[in-house]
Amino acid sequence: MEDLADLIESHQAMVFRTLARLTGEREGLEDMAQEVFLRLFRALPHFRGKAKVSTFLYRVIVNVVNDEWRRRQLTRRTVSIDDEEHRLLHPSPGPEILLAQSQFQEALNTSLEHLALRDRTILTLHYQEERSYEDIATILKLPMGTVKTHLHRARERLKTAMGEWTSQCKTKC
Amino acid sequence: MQNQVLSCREALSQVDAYLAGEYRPSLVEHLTMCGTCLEACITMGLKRPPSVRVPNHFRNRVLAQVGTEEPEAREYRWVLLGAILFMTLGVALWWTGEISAVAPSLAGLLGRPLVLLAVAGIETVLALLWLRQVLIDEP
Repeated sequence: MEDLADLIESHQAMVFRTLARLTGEREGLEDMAQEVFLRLFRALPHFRGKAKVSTFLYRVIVNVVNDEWRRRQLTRRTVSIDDEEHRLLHPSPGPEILLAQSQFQEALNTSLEHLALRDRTILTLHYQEERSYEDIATILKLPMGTVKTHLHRARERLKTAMGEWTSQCKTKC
Repeated sequence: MQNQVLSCREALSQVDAYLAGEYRPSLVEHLTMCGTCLEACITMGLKRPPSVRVPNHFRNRVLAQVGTEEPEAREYRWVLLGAILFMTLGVALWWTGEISAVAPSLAGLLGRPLVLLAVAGIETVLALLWLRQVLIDEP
């Protein structure tokens, strides 16, 4: 129990900010963060320290966010977010949506939310959390080449969306 | 603010303030023409963590919830221990040949190679599933 208290203390900020970035929300974060640490607690007896706790926690976070999205998708009677179809449900935000964001950071966050969850996760882990390709590959259980490909594609999508936003913003913001 | 043409160096020096919400029309103008600075701006935006505060009571809330889960874990351990003892007893009876005395019909049935092979196969699959659950950390 003491171990868990220490783990919560040292990792809670990371868990909250990663969840906030992946979900794009502030509401419900506490419940999801609690679920993350409960899953860590349940897994602790089997945790052999072969992976760093932080790497393990990132995997838990991704699973919790995945489950939350699945739950919401089921509520809306649509498909799983792991599928390629997810991108069809969440196309790039149109210029009119992006223009509603008057600031670059807001528009960037909106664009990020419209990416597939996997791409958003890779971008978040790479840039915000400064994890290596190897770590990301371990966390997402993907080959390193796939991680690099998704990262590149996601960046290109963001660049396109933000290019459109700056062009529109130049005249209308 | 009057629009002016910025160099990339000047543009990049303004990105931090711009991402923090300051109005910089000359920088926006520059970003529409310079893909490199736009990419740099995106990178810096991605690196900025969202501002989110951990509630003060969060740690205690989780620990309180964990307290309610412990009995369930203990129960699971007893079930596991019981299963191991049961299997050990079964193997011991088989090994010493006492199984014929305890359950003669079962001994006859298990004496058939096909049945023995099927039982061994099922047990192997179950053991592998259990090992997978124990050894692979899948939260």
